[in-house]
Amino acid sequence: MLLELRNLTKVFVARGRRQVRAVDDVSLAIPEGATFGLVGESGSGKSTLARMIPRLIEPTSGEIVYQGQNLCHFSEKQMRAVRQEIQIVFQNPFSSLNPRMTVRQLVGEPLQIHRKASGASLDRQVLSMLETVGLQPEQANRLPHEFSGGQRQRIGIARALILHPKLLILDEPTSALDVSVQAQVLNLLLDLQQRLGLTYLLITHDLGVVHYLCDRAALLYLGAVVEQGPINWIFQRPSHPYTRALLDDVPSVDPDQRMLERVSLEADSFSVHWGGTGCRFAPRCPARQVAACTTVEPPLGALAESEHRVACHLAHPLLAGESV
Amino acid sequence: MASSVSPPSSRLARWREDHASQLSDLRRGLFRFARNRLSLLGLWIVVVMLGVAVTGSTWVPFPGDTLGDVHMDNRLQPPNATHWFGTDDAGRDVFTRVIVATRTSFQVGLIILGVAISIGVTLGAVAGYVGGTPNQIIMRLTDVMLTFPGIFLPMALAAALGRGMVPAMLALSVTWWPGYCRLVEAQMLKVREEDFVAGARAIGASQRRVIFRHILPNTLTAIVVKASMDFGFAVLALASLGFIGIGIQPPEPDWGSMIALGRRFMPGAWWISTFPGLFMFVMVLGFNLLGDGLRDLLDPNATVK
Repeated sequence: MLLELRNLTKVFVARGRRQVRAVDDVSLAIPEGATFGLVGESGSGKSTLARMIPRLIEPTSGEIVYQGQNLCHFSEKQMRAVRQEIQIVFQNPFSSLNPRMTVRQLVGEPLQIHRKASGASLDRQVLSMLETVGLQPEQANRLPHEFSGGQRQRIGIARALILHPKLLILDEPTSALDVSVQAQVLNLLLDLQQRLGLTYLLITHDLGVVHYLCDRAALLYLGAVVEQGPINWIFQRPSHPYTRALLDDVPSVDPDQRMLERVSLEADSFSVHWGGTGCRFAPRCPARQVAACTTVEPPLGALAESEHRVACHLAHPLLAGESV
Repeated sequence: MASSVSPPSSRLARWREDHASQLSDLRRGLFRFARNRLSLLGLWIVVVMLGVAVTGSTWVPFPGDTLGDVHMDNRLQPPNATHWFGTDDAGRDVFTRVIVATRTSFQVGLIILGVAISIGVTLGAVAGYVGGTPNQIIMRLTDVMLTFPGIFLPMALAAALGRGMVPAMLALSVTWWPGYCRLVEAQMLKVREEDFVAGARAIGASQRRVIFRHILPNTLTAIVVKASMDFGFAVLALASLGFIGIGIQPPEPDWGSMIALGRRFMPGAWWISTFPGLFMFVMVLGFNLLGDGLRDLLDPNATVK
């Protein structure tokens, strides 16, 4: 495993000492070379999770194990070295690039910081990286605001890739882009992965993107994983009501599939209150049935295919029966 | 013979090519600036005033009148061909004194703002970036400083330090920073949360780099705009100290002390107070208009509307 998260938790203390568990006891494992999808709606804690991995946000508890080392014990200096290998591409290409730096400076900065190159060699690397992500070398002296959203995201990707990282965290890399541009950026990411042997952690709310790119995925709801496993299992046998609802919301071009038993979620996670006991999804669950749903938090248990795990009493009738 | 150094013209050409984007931004900014007649007027006022300040002492008609010459036979002359702005109660040429005082005003204004910005930006940057207890200490101190009504604190300080230009300057410098501190702190808090700051940390940038390369440059516009608007007010504050008699001392010319002097001869000898007052008014106006224009010029994201 390239990266393993063990029981990672982040508690934000809001004003008035109200605690918000943005990420709640999340464990994931990402094999080298894989594309791991992390899916959730806004407020599910996925961006917080992403930023905890290179410790831009400090976890409250849990372990971040990268190549066998627990990053939580690293000093700021050691972290800076590790950050060469773990890079983030941010969601919003309009705010993630310093408006006062040219493309050349933006893409070259990581090399400067880590003293990997300077002068002509830095210039050469920057220009060749621009070409890699599909930008013209002549555009190197332009400022970010002269580019379109898709081009800016390419700059962000170039900036992340120039240090030859192993793991690329893609925090909703396409959600701020026009639909026509999204596909271009996704294809670029696929192409780069094949050429450079990258491992991706792709964070998104778009299951279509996950299906297109990922090998495995985890669904995050209110900071906790409710279902995870290989992508085929999740799409063919969605076992959590939340997953099913999300899948039903993916527009389909197949007219036969269109009207088939669609389950839709009406409220969002902000408007429904979860008291902290029982299943966190129960207040919105379209399939609530057993008493345990409101009293016992369902564990993330394995289904018949042991890599496919789901946190739902209905999927584990035996477990639920025992604990009621 | 082949020369190892490229001729300046091609180096300039290359520089222009490398900075094409900045140059085109600047051109666009200048275009926006130039379309606003008021900011152009401000620019003109400031440029002319600056010219007067720099060259004034070499062409004024009666340079001796700023050094202590007295012509009692010539006192309280109304404006005429020899004395364009008339003469004061000691027969000194008001025009000469007003012009020479322009230089003093510029010097003092620059120094006050220079000191205030250095202190204010440093403290504000620390408060804004570090947060927590240092923020509390710095910002509460700033609040305390800002509770003193206007000129009161520099007045007390200047009076304690003694009369003259240097104490006045010092007193104004060390009391002028809270505005900048608060501005920079607020800007830092805003910029700190931007994604590109997290991005800089993600690529492994040190704190120093994050502050100096990523955050502070993006607060620059606000600082420059405030400084250009403030300049007029710094000059005004200096004149106020002069007016109450604890600033620049006669015979050295100062707009404030000239107005104070002329007050005794109002309304008969109106010219003694009126002309320094007019210069001061125009200068403050000029810097304010310029400040407004600079805001348009410096914003990298502004588009031509």
